[in-house]
Amino acid sequence: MKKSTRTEIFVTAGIAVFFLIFLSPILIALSGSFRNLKDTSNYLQLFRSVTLESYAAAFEKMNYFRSLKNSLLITIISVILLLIFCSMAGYAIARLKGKLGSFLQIFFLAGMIVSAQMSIIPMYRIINKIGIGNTIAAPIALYVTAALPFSIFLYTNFIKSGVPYSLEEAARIDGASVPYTFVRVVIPLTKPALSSLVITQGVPIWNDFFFGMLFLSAPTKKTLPLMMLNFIGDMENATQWNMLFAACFLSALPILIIYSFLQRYFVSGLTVGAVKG
Amino acid sequence: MLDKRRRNVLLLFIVPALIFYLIFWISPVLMSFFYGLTDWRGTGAYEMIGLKNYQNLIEKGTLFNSMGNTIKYTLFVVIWGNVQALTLALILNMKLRARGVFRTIFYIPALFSTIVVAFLWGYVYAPHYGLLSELFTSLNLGTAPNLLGTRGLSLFAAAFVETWKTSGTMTIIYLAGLQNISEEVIESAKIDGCTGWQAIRYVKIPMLSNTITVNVMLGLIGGFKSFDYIFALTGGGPGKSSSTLMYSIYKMAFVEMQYGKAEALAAMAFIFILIVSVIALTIMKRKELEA
Repeated sequence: MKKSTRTEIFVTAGIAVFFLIFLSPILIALSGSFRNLKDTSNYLQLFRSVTLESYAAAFEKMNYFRSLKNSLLITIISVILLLIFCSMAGYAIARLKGKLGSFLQIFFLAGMIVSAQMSIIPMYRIINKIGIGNTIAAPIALYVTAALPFSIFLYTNFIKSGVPYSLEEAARIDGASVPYTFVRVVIPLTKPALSSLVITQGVPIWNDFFFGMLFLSAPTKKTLPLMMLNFIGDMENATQWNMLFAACFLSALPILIIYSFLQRYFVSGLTVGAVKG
Repeated sequence: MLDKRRRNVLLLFIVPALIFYLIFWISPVLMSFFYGLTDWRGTGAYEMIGLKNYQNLIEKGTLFNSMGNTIKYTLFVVIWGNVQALTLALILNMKLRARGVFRTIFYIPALFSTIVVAFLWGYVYAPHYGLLSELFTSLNLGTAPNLLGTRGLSLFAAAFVETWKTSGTMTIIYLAGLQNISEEVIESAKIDGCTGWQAIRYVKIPMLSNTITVNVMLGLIGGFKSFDYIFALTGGGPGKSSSTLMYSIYKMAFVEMQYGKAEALAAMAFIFILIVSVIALTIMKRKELEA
Protein backbone atom coordinates (compact mmCIF):
# COMPACT_ATOMS: atom_id res chain seq x y z
CA MET A 1 0.00 0.00 0.00
CA LYS A 2 2.74 2.38 1.03
CA LYS A 3 4.76 1.67 -2.09
CA SER A 4 1.85 2.38 -4.42
CA THR A 5 1.20 5.70 -2.67
CA ARG A 6 4.82 6.69 -3.29
CA THR A 7 4.56 5.68 -6.97
CA GLU A 8 1.41 7.73 -7.25
CA ILE A 9 3.15 10.80 -5.85
CA PHE A 10 5.99 10.44 -8.37
CA VAL A 11 3.62 9.93 -11.28
CA THR A 12 1.44 12.84 -10.17
CA ALA A 13 4.47 15.13 -9.86
CA GLY A 14 5.69 14.07 -13.30
CA ILE A 15 2.32 14.81 -14.87
CA ALA A 16 2.14 18.15 -13.03
CA VAL A 17 5.52 19.18 -14.52
CA PHE A 18 4.34 18.09 -17.95
CA PHE A 19 1.20 20.25 -17.70
CA LEU A 20 3.25 23.17 -16.38
CA ILE A 21 5.33 23.07 -19.58
CA PHE A 22 2.36 22.31 -21.83
CA LEU A 23 0.36 25.25 -20.46
CA SER A 24 3.36 27.55 -19.96
CA PRO A 25 2.24 30.06 -22.63
CA ILE A 26 -0.94 30.63 -20.60
CA LEU A 27 0.91 30.80 -17.29
CA ILE A 28 3.50 33.31 -18.53
CA ALA A 29 0.79 35.43 -20.13
CA LEU A 30 -1.27 35.38 -16.93
CA SER A 31 1.74 36.47 -14.90
CA GLY A 32 2.56 39.18 -17.46
CA SER A 33 -0.97 40.50 -17.45
CA PHE A 34 -0.64 41.38 -13.75
CA ARG A 35 2.53 43.42 -14.26
CA ASN A 36 2.92 47.15 -14.62
CA LEU A 37 2.42 48.32 -18.19
CA LYS A 38 6.09 48.95 -18.92
CA ASP A 39 7.65 46.10 -16.95
CA THR A 40 9.42 44.01 -19.60
CA SER A 41 12.00 42.37 -17.36
CA ASN A 42 12.50 38.62 -17.71
CA TYR A 43 9.08 37.01 -18.02
CA LEU A 44 10.31 33.77 -16.49
CA GLN A 45 10.10 35.52 -13.10
CA LEU A 46 6.48 34.64 -12.53
CA PHE A 47 4.15 36.98 -10.69
CA ARG A 48 6.91 39.39 -9.59
CA SER A 49 4.26 42.05 -9.13
CA VAL A 50 0.50 42.02 -9.04
CA THR A 51 -1.29 45.16 -10.20
CA LEU A 52 -4.35 45.68 -12.35
CA GLU A 53 -2.75 48.51 -14.36
CA SER A 54 -2.50 46.45 -17.57
CA TYR A 55 -6.06 45.22 -17.18
CA ALA A 56 -7.32 48.76 -16.77
CA ALA A 57 -5.52 49.82 -19.94
CA ALA A 58 -6.78 46.82 -21.91
CA PHE A 59 -10.31 47.25 -20.55
CA GLU A 60 -10.43 50.78 -21.89
CA LYS A 61 -8.69 50.09 -25.19
CA MET A 62 -11.02 47.18 -25.96
CA ASN A 63 -14.10 49.16 -25.01
CA TYR A 64 -14.83 46.06 -23.02
CA PHE A 65 -18.51 46.28 -22.13
CA ARG A 66 -19.52 47.32 -25.63
CA SER A 67 -17.51 44.51 -27.23
CA LEU A 68 -18.81 42.03 -24.69
CA LYS A 69 -22.37 43.05 -25.43
CA ASN A 70 -21.76 42.66 -29.19
CA SER A 71 -20.19 39.23 -28.70
CA LEU A 72 -23.06 38.06 -26.51
CA LEU A 73 -25.71 39.37 -28.88
CA ILE A 74 -24.21 37.77 -31.99
CA THR A 75 -23.45 34.45 -30.30
CA ILE A 76 -26.83 34.06 -28.60
CA ILE A 77 -28.89 34.93 -31.68
CA SER A 78 -26.76 32.67 -33.89
CA VAL A 79 -27.01 29.69 -31.55
CA ILE A 80 -30.79 30.05 -31.10
CA LEU A 81 -31.39 30.26 -34.84
CA LEU A 82 -29.03 27.35 -35.42
CA LEU A 83 -30.86 25.16 -32.90
CA ILE A 84 -34.25 25.95 -34.45
CA PHE A 85 -33.16 25.41 -38.05
CA CYS A 86 -31.07 22.32 -37.49
CA SER A 87 -33.52 20.54 -35.19
CA MET A 88 -36.41 21.08 -37.60
CA ALA A 89 -34.39 20.01 -40.64
CA GLY A 90 -32.61 17.19 -38.82
CA TYR A 91 -35.88 15.77 -37.53
CA ALA A 92 -37.51 15.90 -40.95
CA ILE A 93 -34.49 14.27 -42.61
CA ALA A 94 -34.47 11.48 -40.03
CA ARG A 95 -38.14 10.73 -40.58
CA LEU A 96 -38.41 11.16 -44.35
CA LYS A 97 -38.22 7.65 -45.70
CA GLY A 98 -36.63 6.74 -49.00
CA LYS A 99 -34.16 8.43 -51.28
CA LEU A 100 -35.04 12.03 -50.47
CA GLY A 101 -34.05 11.69 -46.80
CA SER A 102 -30.67 10.15 -47.49
CA PHE A 103 -29.99 12.57 -50.35
CA LEU A 104 -30.69 15.58 -48.10
CA GLN A 105 -28.48 14.17 -45.37
CA ILE A 106 -25.52 13.87 -47.74
CA PHE A 107 -26.32 17.19 -49.41
CA PHE A 108 -26.05 19.05 -46.11
CA LEU A 109 -23.07 17.03 -44.88
CA ALA A 110 -21.13 17.85 -48.07
CA GLY A 111 -21.08 21.48 -46.93
CA MET A 112 -18.42 20.51 -44.42
CA ILE A 113 -15.72 20.43 -47.08
CA VAL A 114 -16.42 24.04 -47.98
CA SER A 115 -14.35 26.60 -46.15
CA ALA A 116 -15.52 30.20 -45.93
CA GLN A 117 -12.28 31.51 -47.45
CA MET A 118 -13.09 29.69 -50.69
CA SER A 119 -16.04 31.83 -51.60
CA ILE A 120 -15.74 35.04 -49.63
CA ILE A 121 -16.19 37.35 -52.59
CA PRO A 122 -19.49 35.88 -53.74
CA MET A 123 -20.58 35.77 -50.08
CA TYR A 124 -19.68 39.40 -49.75
CA ARG A 125 -21.72 40.32 -52.84
CA ILE A 126 -24.75 38.31 -51.71
CA ILE A 127 -24.66 39.87 -48.23
CA ASN A 128 -24.52 43.37 -49.73
CA LYS A 129 -27.23 42.62 -52.26
CA ILE A 130 -29.61 41.49 -49.51
CA GLY A 131 -28.80 44.75 -47.74
CA ILE A 132 -27.38 43.37 -44.51
CA GLY A 133 -23.76 44.42 -45.14
CA ASN A 134 -22.14 45.96 -42.04
CA THR A 135 -24.95 44.86 -39.74
CA ILE A 136 -24.75 42.06 -37.20
CA ALA A 137 -27.21 40.13 -39.36
CA ALA A 138 -24.37 39.38 -41.80
CA PRO A 139 -22.07 37.41 -39.46
CA ILE A 140 -25.13 35.84 -37.79
CA ALA A 141 -26.43 34.50 -41.10
CA LEU A 142 -23.01 33.06 -41.91
CA TYR A 143 -22.41 31.54 -38.47
CA VAL A 144 -25.76 29.78 -38.63
CA THR A 145 -25.14 28.54 -42.16
CA ALA A 146 -21.56 27.45 -41.57
CA ALA A 147 -22.65 25.39 -38.56
CA LEU A 148 -25.60 23.72 -40.32
CA PRO A 149 -23.78 20.84 -42.07
CA PHE A 150 -22.27 19.35 -38.91
CA SER A 151 -25.26 20.18 -36.71
CA ILE A 152 -27.86 18.61 -38.98
CA PHE A 153 -25.68 15.53 -39.35
CA LEU A 154 -25.34 15.15 -35.58
CA TYR A 155 -29.01 15.81 -34.88
CA THR A 156 -30.27 13.42 -37.57
CA ASN A 157 -28.05 10.62 -36.29
CA PHE A 158 -29.12 11.29 -32.72
CA ILE A 159 -32.79 10.90 -33.64
CA LYS A 160 -32.18 7.81 -35.75
CA SER A 161 -30.33 6.05 -32.95
CA GLY A 162 -31.98 7.52 -29.86
CA VAL A 163 -35.62 8.47 -30.44
CA PRO A 164 -37.95 5.50 -30.90
CA TYR A 165 -40.43 6.04 -33.70
CA SER A 166 -43.11 4.19 -31.70
CA LEU A 167 -43.45 7.24 -29.40
CA GLU A 168 -44.30 9.52 -32.31
CA GLU A 169 -46.60 6.86 -33.68
CA ALA A 170 -48.46 6.80 -30.38
CA ALA A 171 -48.77 10.59 -30.38
CA ARG A 172 -50.08 10.48 -33.95
CA ILE A 173 -52.75 7.90 -33.06
CA ASP A 174 -53.80 10.24 -30.23
CA GLY A 175 -54.34 12.85 -32.93
CA ALA A 176 -51.24 15.02 -32.42
CA SER A 177 -50.02 17.05 -35.38
CA VAL A 178 -46.41 16.90 -36.65
CA PRO A 179 -45.36 20.25 -35.12
CA TYR A 180 -46.94 19.29 -31.77
CA THR A 181 -45.18 15.91 -31.73
CA PHE A 182 -41.92 17.61 -32.65
CA VAL A 183 -42.09 20.17 -29.85
CA ARG A 184 -43.61 17.96 -27.14
CA VAL A 185 -42.04 14.55 -27.85
CA VAL A 186 -38.91 14.95 -29.99
CA ILE A 187 -37.33 18.11 -28.56
CA PRO A 188 -37.37 16.89 -24.91
CA LEU A 189 -35.81 13.57 -25.95
CA THR A 190 -33.02 15.26 -27.91
CA LYS A 191 -31.85 17.63 -25.20
CA PRO A 192 -28.39 15.98 -25.00
CA ALA A 193 -27.85 16.62 -28.72
CA LEU A 194 -29.06 20.21 -28.42
CA SER A 195 -26.85 21.01 -25.44
CA SER A 196 -23.93 19.39 -27.27
CA LEU A 197 -24.57 21.74 -30.20
CA VAL A 198 -24.71 24.79 -27.93
CA ILE A 199 -21.17 23.99 -26.79
CA THR A 200 -19.53 22.57 -29.92
CA GLN A 201 -20.96 25.33 -32.15
CA GLY A 202 -21.42 28.16 -29.66
CA VAL A 203 -17.82 28.32 -28.46
CA PRO A 204 -16.34 28.62 -31.98
CA ILE A 205 -18.94 31.27 -32.89
CA TRP A 206 -18.05 33.24 -29.75
CA ASN A 207 -14.35 32.95 -30.59
CA ASP A 208 -14.49 33.58 -34.35
CA PHE A 209 -13.02 36.68 -35.94
CA PHE A 210 -13.21 35.86 -39.66
CA PHE A 211 -16.82 36.72 -40.55
CA GLY A 212 -16.69 39.72 -38.25
CA MET A 213 -13.50 40.90 -39.92
CA LEU A 214 -15.19 40.74 -43.33
CA PHE A 215 -18.60 42.12 -42.48
CA LEU A 216 -18.36 44.37 -39.43
CA SER A 217 -16.17 47.39 -40.09
CA ALA A 218 -18.06 49.81 -37.83
CA PRO A 219 -16.16 50.10 -34.52
CA THR A 220 -19.41 50.15 -32.52
CA LYS A 221 -20.31 46.66 -33.72
CA LYS A 222 -17.02 44.93 -33.03
CA THR A 223 -16.88 41.77 -30.89
CA LEU A 224 -14.14 40.78 -28.43
CA PRO A 225 -12.10 38.73 -30.94
CA LEU A 226 -12.32 41.64 -33.40
CA MET A 227 -10.92 44.00 -30.78
CA MET A 228 -8.02 41.56 -30.37
CA LEU A 229 -7.53 41.68 -34.12
CA ASN A 230 -7.09 45.44 -33.85
CA PHE A 231 -4.07 44.86 -31.62
CA ILE A 232 -2.26 42.64 -34.07
CA GLY A 233 0.13 45.39 -35.10
CA ASP A 234 1.20 45.80 -31.45
CA MET A 235 2.73 42.31 -31.48
CA GLU A 236 5.94 43.81 -32.87
CA ASN A 237 6.17 46.19 -29.95
CA ALA A 238 7.72 44.61 -26.85
CA THR A 239 6.42 47.34 -24.55
CA GLN A 240 2.79 46.53 -25.38
CA TRP A 241 2.82 42.93 -24.26
CA ASN A 242 1.48 43.32 -20.72
CA MET A 243 -1.56 45.14 -22.07
CA LEU A 244 -1.96 42.48 -24.79
CA PHE A 245 -1.80 39.68 -22.22
CA ALA A 246 -4.47 41.38 -20.13
CA ALA A 247 -6.60 41.79 -23.26
CA CYS A 248 -6.21 38.05 -24.01
CA PHE A 249 -7.60 37.11 -20.59
CA LEU A 250 -10.32 39.72 -20.67
CA SER A 251 -11.61 38.37 -23.95
CA ALA A 252 -11.43 34.76 -22.73
CA LEU A 253 -12.94 35.53 -19.32
CA PRO A 254 -16.63 34.91 -20.11
CA ILE A 255 -15.90 31.46 -21.60
CA LEU A 256 -13.55 30.59 -18.74
CA ILE A 257 -16.29 31.44 -16.24
CA ILE A 258 -18.88 29.38 -18.12
CA TYR A 259 -16.42 26.48 -18.35
CA SER A 260 -15.76 26.53 -14.62
CA PHE A 261 -19.48 26.08 -13.93
CA LEU A 262 -20.48 23.79 -16.79
CA GLN A 263 -17.33 21.70 -17.26
CA ARG A 264 -19.39 18.49 -17.22
CA TYR A 265 -21.35 19.61 -20.27
CA PHE A 266 -18.21 20.52 -22.19
CA VAL A 267 -16.94 16.97 -21.81
CA SER A 268 -20.19 15.16 -22.50
CA GLY A 269 -21.16 17.61 -25.24
CA LEU A 270 -18.08 16.87 -27.31
CA THR A 271 -18.64 13.14 -27.29
CA VAL A 272 -22.29 13.08 -28.41
CA GLY A 273 -22.09 11.76 -31.92
CA ALA A 274 -18.30 11.46 -31.93
CA VAL A 275 -18.10 8.09 -30.20
CA LYS A 276 -20.70 5.42 -30.45
CA GLY A 277 -20.61 2.42 -28.12
CA MET B 1 -46.53 5.03 -42.61
CA LEU B 2 -46.42 8.67 -43.41
CA ASP B 3 -49.46 10.00 -45.12
CA LYS B 4 -49.09 12.74 -47.68
CA ARG B 5 -50.06 15.61 -45.41
CA ARG B 6 -47.53 14.67 -42.72
CA ARG B 7 -44.85 14.27 -45.34
CA ASN B 8 -45.54 17.79 -46.63
CA VAL B 9 -45.26 19.21 -43.14
CA LEU B 10 -41.91 17.46 -42.73
CA LEU B 11 -40.74 18.94 -46.04
CA LEU B 12 -41.70 22.40 -44.76
CA PHE B 13 -39.51 21.77 -41.70
CA ILE B 14 -36.46 21.62 -43.97
CA VAL B 15 -37.18 24.92 -45.71
CA PRO B 16 -35.53 27.44 -43.29
CA ALA B 17 -32.25 25.50 -43.12
CA LEU B 18 -32.34 24.84 -46.84
CA ILE B 19 -32.85 28.52 -47.73
CA PHE B 20 -29.87 29.64 -45.63
CA TYR B 21 -27.75 26.78 -46.88
CA LEU B 22 -28.52 27.49 -50.55
CA ILE B 23 -28.14 31.28 -50.32
CA PHE B 24 -25.08 31.59 -48.11
CA TRP B 25 -23.18 28.34 -48.69
CA ILE B 26 -23.99 26.61 -52.00
CA SER B 27 -24.56 29.56 -54.31
CA PRO B 28 -21.30 31.35 -53.28
CA VAL B 29 -19.39 28.17 -54.12
CA LEU B 30 -21.07 27.88 -57.53
CA MET B 31 -20.52 31.59 -58.21
CA SER B 32 -16.86 31.28 -57.29
CA PHE B 33 -16.44 28.50 -59.86
CA PHE B 34 -17.81 30.95 -62.41
CA TYR B 35 -15.62 33.89 -61.35
CA GLY B 36 -12.61 31.59 -61.64
CA LEU B 37 -13.12 31.68 -65.39
CA THR B 38 -13.02 35.49 -65.56
CA ASP B 39 -10.45 38.26 -65.12
CA TRP B 40 -12.69 40.12 -62.63
CA ARG B 41 -10.83 42.47 -60.30
CA GLY B 42 -13.68 43.41 -57.99
CA THR B 43 -15.07 46.43 -59.78
CA GLY B 44 -16.22 47.14 -63.28
CA ALA B 45 -16.63 44.81 -66.20
CA TYR B 46 -14.97 41.47 -66.64
CA GLU B 47 -14.31 39.08 -69.47
CA MET B 48 -14.43 35.35 -69.72
CA ILE B 49 -10.87 34.18 -70.10
CA GLY B 50 -11.40 30.43 -70.00
CA LEU B 51 -8.80 28.46 -68.14
CA LYS B 52 -6.13 31.20 -68.17
CA ASN B 53 -6.29 31.67 -64.37
CA TYR B 54 -5.75 27.97 -63.89
CA GLN B 55 -2.85 27.96 -66.35
CA ASN B 56 -1.28 30.93 -64.57
CA LEU B 57 -1.62 29.34 -61.12
CA ILE B 58 0.02 26.15 -62.32
CA GLU B 59 2.81 27.83 -64.32
CA LYS B 60 3.74 30.34 -61.60
CA GLY B 61 3.93 27.52 -59.05
CA THR B 62 1.28 29.10 -56.79
CA LEU B 63 -0.93 26.02 -56.88
CA PHE B 64 1.79 23.53 -56.01
CA ASN B 65 3.38 25.74 -53.38
CA SER B 66 0.17 26.34 -51.47
CA MET B 67 -1.08 22.80 -51.97
CA GLY B 68 2.25 21.38 -50.80
CA ASN B 69 2.19 23.62 -47.73
CA THR B 70 -1.37 22.56 -46.95
CA ILE B 71 -0.42 18.89 -47.22
CA LYS B 72 2.62 19.35 -44.93
CA TYR B 73 0.56 21.31 -42.41
CA THR B 74 -2.22 18.72 -42.49
CA LEU B 75 0.14 15.75 -42.07
CA PHE B 76 1.72 17.45 -39.09
CA VAL B 77 -1.65 18.22 -37.52
CA VAL B 78 -2.99 14.70 -38.12
CA ILE B 79 0.11 12.81 -36.94
CA TRP B 80 1.35 14.99 -34.08
CA GLY B 81 -2.17 15.97 -33.04
CA ASN B 82 -3.19 12.34 -32.62
CA VAL B 83 0.01 11.26 -30.87
CA GLN B 84 -0.33 14.18 -28.47
CA ALA B 85 -4.03 13.65 -27.80
CA LEU B 86 -3.72 9.88 -27.31
CA THR B 87 -0.83 10.42 -24.88
CA LEU B 88 -2.83 13.01 -22.96
CA ALA B 89 -5.86 10.72 -22.86
CA LEU B 90 -3.79 7.81 -21.53
CA ILE B 91 -2.35 10.10 -18.85
CA LEU B 92 -5.77 11.46 -17.86
CA ASN B 93 -7.21 7.94 -17.76
CA MET B 94 -4.77 6.86 -15.02
CA LYS B 95 -6.34 6.27 -11.63
CA LEU B 96 -4.76 9.12 -9.68
CA ARG B 97 -6.20 11.17 -6.86
CA ALA B 98 -5.24 14.39 -8.69
CA ARG B 99 -7.02 13.25 -11.86
CA GLY B 100 -9.86 15.76 -11.42
CA VAL B 101 -7.48 18.73 -11.49
CA PHE B 102 -5.65 17.48 -14.59
CA ARG B 103 -8.94 16.81 -16.30
CA THR B 104 -9.98 20.41 -15.67
CA ILE B 105 -6.84 22.18 -16.86
CA PHE B 106 -5.93 20.22 -20.00
CA TYR B 107 -8.97 21.59 -21.84
CA ILE B 108 -8.21 25.28 -21.24
CA PRO B 109 -6.38 25.93 -24.57
CA ALA B 110 -9.50 24.80 -26.44
CA LEU B 111 -11.53 27.58 -24.81
CA PHE B 112 -9.47 30.47 -26.17
CA SER B 113 -10.20 32.20 -29.46
CA THR B 114 -7.70 31.38 -32.22
CA ILE B 115 -6.71 35.04 -32.27
CA VAL B 116 -5.94 34.92 -28.52
CA VAL B 117 -3.96 31.70 -29.02
CA ALA B 118 -2.06 33.45 -31.82
CA PHE B 119 -1.12 36.24 -29.39
CA LEU B 120 0.04 33.76 -26.72
CA TRP B 121 2.22 31.89 -29.21
CA GLY B 122 3.31 35.05 -30.95
CA TYR B 123 4.91 35.90 -27.63
CA VAL B 124 6.43 32.42 -27.23
CA TYR B 125 8.04 32.61 -30.69
CA ALA B 126 8.99 36.31 -30.67
CA PRO B 127 12.69 36.83 -31.43
CA HIS B 128 14.84 38.67 -28.82
CA TYR B 129 12.26 38.90 -26.04
CA GLY B 130 9.87 35.95 -26.46
CA LEU B 131 9.51 32.97 -24.14
CA LEU B 132 11.78 30.69 -26.19
CA SER B 133 14.34 33.47 -26.42
CA GLU B 134 14.33 34.10 -22.66
CA LEU B 135 14.51 30.37 -22.00
CA PHE B 136 17.55 29.97 -24.27
CA THR B 137 19.28 32.92 -22.59
CA SER B 138 18.51 31.64 -19.07
CA LEU B 139 19.89 28.21 -19.91
CA ASN B 140 22.95 29.70 -21.70
CA LEU B 141 22.01 28.05 -24.96
CA GLY B 142 22.80 31.10 -27.10
CA THR B 143 20.28 32.70 -29.42
CA ALA B 144 16.94 30.94 -29.87
CA PRO B 145 15.97 30.09 -33.46
CA ASN B 146 13.51 32.52 -34.99
CA LEU B 147 10.92 29.88 -35.78
CA LEU B 148 8.40 32.16 -37.49
CA GLY B 149 11.08 33.87 -39.58
CA THR B 150 12.77 30.76 -40.95
CA ARG B 151 11.80 29.12 -44.22
CA GLY B 152 10.68 25.56 -43.71
CA LEU B 153 10.08 26.05 -39.99
CA SER B 154 7.40 28.75 -39.85
CA LEU B 155 4.78 26.44 -41.37
CA PHE B 156 5.36 23.80 -38.69
CA ALA B 157 5.58 26.39 -35.91
CA ALA B 158 2.06 27.46 -36.90
CA ALA B 159 0.86 23.85 -37.24
CA PHE B 160 2.16 23.12 -33.75
CA VAL B 161 0.02 25.93 -32.37
CA GLU B 162 -2.99 24.38 -34.10
CA THR B 163 -2.33 21.02 -32.38
CA TRP B 164 -1.89 22.77 -29.03
CA LYS B 165 -5.24 24.49 -29.39
CA THR B 166 -7.15 21.43 -30.64
CA SER B 167 -5.56 18.98 -28.20
CA GLY B 168 -8.39 19.42 -25.70
CA THR B 169 -11.11 18.39 -28.12
CA MET B 170 -9.21 15.42 -29.56
CA THR B 171 -8.23 14.25 -26.07
CA ILE B 172 -11.82 14.24 -24.84
CA ILE B 173 -12.80 12.10 -27.80
CA TYR B 174 -9.95 9.65 -27.03
CA LEU B 175 -10.90 9.60 -23.35
CA ALA B 176 -14.46 8.62 -24.24
CA GLY B 177 -13.09 5.90 -26.50
CA LEU B 178 -10.81 4.59 -23.76
CA GLN B 179 -13.68 4.47 -21.30
CA ASN B 180 -15.60 2.27 -23.72
CA ILE B 181 -12.95 -0.45 -23.43
CA SER B 182 -14.05 -2.75 -20.63
CA GLU B 183 -11.76 -3.36 -17.68
CA GLU B 184 -12.11 -7.10 -18.19
CA VAL B 185 -10.39 -7.00 -21.58
CA ILE B 186 -7.37 -5.20 -20.11
CA GLU B 187 -7.33 -7.50 -17.08
CA SER B 188 -7.37 -10.66 -19.16
CA ALA B 189 -4.59 -9.25 -21.36
CA LYS B 190 -2.53 -8.68 -18.22
CA ILE B 191 -3.22 -12.22 -16.97
CA ASP B 192 -2.01 -13.48 -20.35
CA GLY B 193 1.28 -11.71 -19.62
CA CYS B 194 0.89 -8.36 -21.45
CA THR B 195 3.16 -5.55 -20.22
CA GLY B 196 1.68 -2.06 -19.81
CA TRP B 197 2.98 -0.94 -23.19
CA GLN B 198 1.83 -4.12 -24.92
CA ALA B 199 -1.65 -3.62 -23.49
CA ILE B 200 -1.70 -0.15 -25.05
CA ARG B 201 -0.21 -1.18 -28.39
CA TYR B 202 -2.02 -4.47 -29.01
CA VAL B 203 -5.27 -4.09 -27.07
CA LYS B 204 -6.20 -0.44 -26.52
CA ILE B 205 -5.11 1.10 -29.84
CA PRO B 206 -6.84 -1.52 -32.06
CA MET B 207 -10.00 -1.16 -29.96
CA LEU B 208 -9.86 2.61 -30.48
CA SER B 209 -10.00 2.40 -34.29
CA ASN B 210 -13.43 4.10 -34.41
CA THR B 211 -12.15 6.95 -32.28
CA ILE B 212 -8.97 7.26 -34.33
CA THR B 213 -11.10 7.64 -37.47
CA VAL B 214 -13.01 10.53 -35.90
CA ASN B 215 -9.82 12.29 -34.80
CA VAL B 216 -8.01 11.74 -38.10
CA MET B 217 -10.97 13.26 -39.93
CA LEU B 218 -11.00 16.19 -37.48
CA GLY B 219 -7.27 16.70 -38.12
CA LEU B 220 -7.73 16.50 -41.89
CA ILE B 221 -10.54 19.05 -41.89
CA GLY B 222 -8.62 21.38 -39.57
CA GLY B 223 -5.48 21.05 -41.68
CA PHE B 224 -7.15 21.65 -45.04
CA LYS B 225 -8.91 24.72 -43.71
CA SER B 226 -5.77 26.05 -42.01
CA PHE B 227 -5.99 29.81 -42.09
CA ASP B 228 -6.08 31.49 -38.67
CA TYR B 229 -2.52 30.84 -37.47
CA ILE B 230 -0.98 31.47 -40.88
CA PHE B 231 -2.94 34.73 -41.06
CA ALA B 232 -2.04 35.89 -37.53
CA LEU B 233 1.44 34.44 -37.02
CA THR B 234 3.38 34.06 -40.28
CA GLY B 235 1.40 36.03 -42.89
CA GLY B 236 2.32 33.20 -45.27
CA GLY B 237 5.99 34.05 -44.91
CA PRO B 238 8.90 34.21 -45.07
CA GLY B 239 8.21 34.79 -48.75
CA LYS B 240 5.41 32.37 -49.59
CA SER B 241 6.96 29.48 -47.71
CA SER B 242 4.05 29.01 -45.30
CA SER B 243 1.19 30.14 -47.52
CA THR B 244 -1.55 27.49 -47.36
CA LEU B 245 -4.43 27.14 -49.83
CA MET B 246 -6.95 29.08 -47.73
CA TYR B 247 -4.46 31.81 -46.91
CA SER B 248 -3.36 32.16 -50.56
CA ILE B 249 -6.98 32.45 -51.67
CA TYR B 250 -7.73 35.07 -49.02
CA LYS B 251 -4.62 37.10 -49.85
CA MET B 252 -5.17 37.01 -53.60
CA ALA B 253 -8.77 38.13 -53.18
CA PHE B 254 -8.55 40.70 -50.42
CA VAL B 255 -5.01 42.04 -50.58
CA GLU B 256 -4.00 41.66 -54.23
CA MET B 257 -7.54 42.17 -55.61
CA GLN B 258 -7.15 39.30 -58.08
CA TYR B 259 -10.63 37.93 -57.60
CA GLY B 260 -10.77 35.75 -60.71
CA LYS B 261 -7.49 34.07 -59.93
CA ALA B 262 -8.40 33.59 -56.25
CA GLU B 263 -11.60 31.80 -57.19
CA ALA B 264 -9.81 29.57 -59.69
CA LEU B 265 -7.52 28.50 -56.84
CA ALA B 266 -10.57 28.02 -54.62
CA ALA B 267 -12.15 25.71 -57.19
CA MET B 268 -8.99 23.59 -57.32
CA ALA B 269 -8.79 23.54 -53.51
CA PHE B 270 -12.41 22.40 -53.38
CA ILE B 271 -11.81 19.49 -55.73
CA PHE B 272 -8.59 18.56 -53.93
CA ILE B 273 -10.26 18.51 -50.49
CA LEU B 274 -13.24 16.56 -51.85
CA ILE B 275 -11.00 13.86 -53.34
CA VAL B 276 -8.77 13.52 -50.26
CA SER B 277 -11.76 13.40 -47.88
CA VAL B 278 -13.46 10.64 -49.86
CA ILE B 279 -10.22 8.62 -50.11
CA ALA B 280 -9.44 9.06 -46.40
CA LEU B 281 -12.93 8.07 -45.33
CA THR B 282 -12.88 4.96 -47.55
CA ILE B 283 -9.47 3.83 -46.22
CA MET B 284 -10.41 4.45 -42.61
CA LYS B 285 -13.73 2.58 -42.97
CA ARG B 286 -11.90 -0.42 -44.45
CA LYS B 287 -9.33 -0.38 -41.61
CA GLU B 288 -12.10 -0.21 -39.05
CA LEU B 289 -13.72 -3.33 -40.52
CA GLU B 290 -10.41 -5.20 -40.42
CA ALA B 291 -9.69 -4.27 -36.83
